Amino acid sequence: MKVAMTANASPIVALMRELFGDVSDFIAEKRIDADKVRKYGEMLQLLEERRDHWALNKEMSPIDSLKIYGAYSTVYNTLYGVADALDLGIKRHENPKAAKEVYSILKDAMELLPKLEEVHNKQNKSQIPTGLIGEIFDETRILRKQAISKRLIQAGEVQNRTELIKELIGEIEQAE
Amino acid sequence: MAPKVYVETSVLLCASMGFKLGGRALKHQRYDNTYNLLQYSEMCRNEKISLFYTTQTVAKEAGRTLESALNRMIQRQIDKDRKIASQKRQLAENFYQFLNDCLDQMDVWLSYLSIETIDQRAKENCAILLRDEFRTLDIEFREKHGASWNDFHFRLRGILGKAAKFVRTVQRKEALHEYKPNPSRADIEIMAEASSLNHGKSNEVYLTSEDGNFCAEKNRKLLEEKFGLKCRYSHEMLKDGHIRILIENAKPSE
Repeated sequence: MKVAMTANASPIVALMRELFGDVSDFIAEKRIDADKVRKYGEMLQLLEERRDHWALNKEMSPIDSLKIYGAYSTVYNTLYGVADALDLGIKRHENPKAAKEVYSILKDAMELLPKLEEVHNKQNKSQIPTGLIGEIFDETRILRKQAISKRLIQAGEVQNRTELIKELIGEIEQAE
Repeated sequence: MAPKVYVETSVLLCASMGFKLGGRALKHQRYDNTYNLLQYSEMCRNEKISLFYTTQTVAKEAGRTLESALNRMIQRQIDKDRKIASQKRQLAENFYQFLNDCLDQMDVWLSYLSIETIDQRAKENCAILLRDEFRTLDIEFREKHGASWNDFHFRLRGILGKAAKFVRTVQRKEALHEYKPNPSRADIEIMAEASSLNHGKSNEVYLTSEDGNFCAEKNRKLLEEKFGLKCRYSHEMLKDGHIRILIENAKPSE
């Protein structure tokens, strides 16, 4: 319970709820407020810090750290795309069409963030509930696929793909 | 009865990486063969032919193996202790993208494979029997090859050391071709799942794998004799149009 409170009290979670509330207002009022869209800048900055913190982080196993990195990165990229879509909606006078389109994806991001913050804020990482990282990873993959299908983010290209595959093949064969 | 082809973890995993060069062959026989074999599963799905199957454990185990291999690769990058944040971010982004690409492809393959409901009691009975049989074979193997069969640390140095290592490598390869000891808990579980689905040996069931624990001579003999499971490497399934014959036989009669 205490853990959940900490995650809920996180400024990122609070700001995310605010952003989601704003989008609901945009839909209800049939108008996208440009001042409120500017708040995304603050959110993106916070997410960027978190993302960089988890890049090749040593606090947990490499693969778990990667999953947390990927989750923050996906939320960052998604919100970047959402902010862009809302800006474009204002310019094209597509109010509230643009807000309606990002509503469900924003809801998913809002549900994911408290879990991420719970992991981030936990002092003793060994006390992270079993299965939480897996849950975060699964939800992130769903969010990423949704964001790609809505063209809020683009599927990236892997650098040095052939080398990575060969290295991975070596690792798997060695483990057998 | 219509034939069935069960896909094992190693095949699913290899094929999930094999595609990664935009459809071009990886030029690694094992990976290209598994990819080619699973392309038939796509064809079967499109033509509504029930031939390719897998089990829940296979799906779980393939993801776990991929993650644990990637874990070691990332660890090596962490050990380099890079200080520049943008470099670390770039590497992490690349690994994350790579992991997602492999898992996405694995999901695609899994969508072409059918997963049957398993009778847990029958599976457990098969697993008990398999554990006993493999224990006996493991003891025989150790008696025949000694405890040092997998040891490559020699007292000899220079050319003699190299020669000793070469001889040991050849001996090891021959020994493993005959029998691969110590199947993991997950291997036994997969064998038991496929076996429990072929109770009474009533079907022509193939278990396709790239792992010696399934396909080494004695391992496959045990599985065929006890449960009627025919363990084959992907290249054996593709050889002489074998898989095409199975597809023909699996086609529903008009």
